[in-house]
Amino acid sequence: MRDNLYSKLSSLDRTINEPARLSIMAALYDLKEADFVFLQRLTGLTRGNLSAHIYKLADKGYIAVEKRFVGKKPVTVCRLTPEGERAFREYVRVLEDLVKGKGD
Amino acid sequence: MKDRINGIRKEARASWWEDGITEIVAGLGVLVIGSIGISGYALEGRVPPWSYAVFILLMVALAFGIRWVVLWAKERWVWPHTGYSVVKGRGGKYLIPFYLIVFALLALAFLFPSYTPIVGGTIGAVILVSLALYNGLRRFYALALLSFAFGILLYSVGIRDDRATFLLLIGVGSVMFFLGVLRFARFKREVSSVHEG
Repeated sequence: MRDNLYSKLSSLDRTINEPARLSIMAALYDLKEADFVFLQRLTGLTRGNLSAHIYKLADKGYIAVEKRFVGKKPVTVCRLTPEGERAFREYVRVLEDLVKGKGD
Repeated sequence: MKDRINGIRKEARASWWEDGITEIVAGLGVLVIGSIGISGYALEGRVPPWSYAVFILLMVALAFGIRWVVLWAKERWVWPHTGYSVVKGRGGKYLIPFYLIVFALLALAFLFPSYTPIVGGTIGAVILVSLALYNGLRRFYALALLSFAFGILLYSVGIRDDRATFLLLIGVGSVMFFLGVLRFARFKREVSSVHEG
């Protein structure tokens, strides 16, 4: 059973299994959408760092990025895609299984 | 890792309430409904029957208008400082038990009208506790306790008819509005101190 858990752990989604990207995914999971400034404030990442991680997550299809106006201000809005939500839930489930010592 | 994930999720959910605008708008809305209701009660027999329809329409308009006003206020005073974010609607597996509890309490109020203030206070407390469980903010637990305490107080002083509901709305709405204003003042100070730095 333990071996099974370790094999599960090694197959964790590497796109999410990075602290900065995990922070972005966790923040967006409970939000309908959020802009770049909000995510930067919440995660504490620098502009360049956040931009690179958002690009990687968008490239994988986990988040959707859209430029639009909120009032008169142009903003870059990010939103978790259904695929991203599934991937995040699965990632958290594997971590929970590991903590509880559960295997298949 | 799990703690960090939960911490960020909690912070993201709480971000919607950190400025106090939702409490200001919702508190004011509840206060207006309660005030109109109590005025209607005081003028009973002297107001035309259609005024009740206007009152119900106003309640519906306020219920739907609150979100619009909150977004309007956030767009002007909050998002330029904190960045834009919209929190997901509450729901999922907790929504059905929540509605079941509220409907059961409403049914109790119809069956035992004299317990209206206690039932009203409990419904307010259930709504506020569910919000507190969602956003993790302690002041919502305090408001829930206050709502319940108001209900008990009104019942114990003998106000057990429709007036109790309106007085309850006025009481909880005023406190919610006042807490919202305090929170918003603190938020403005925090935001300006960040910008000065």
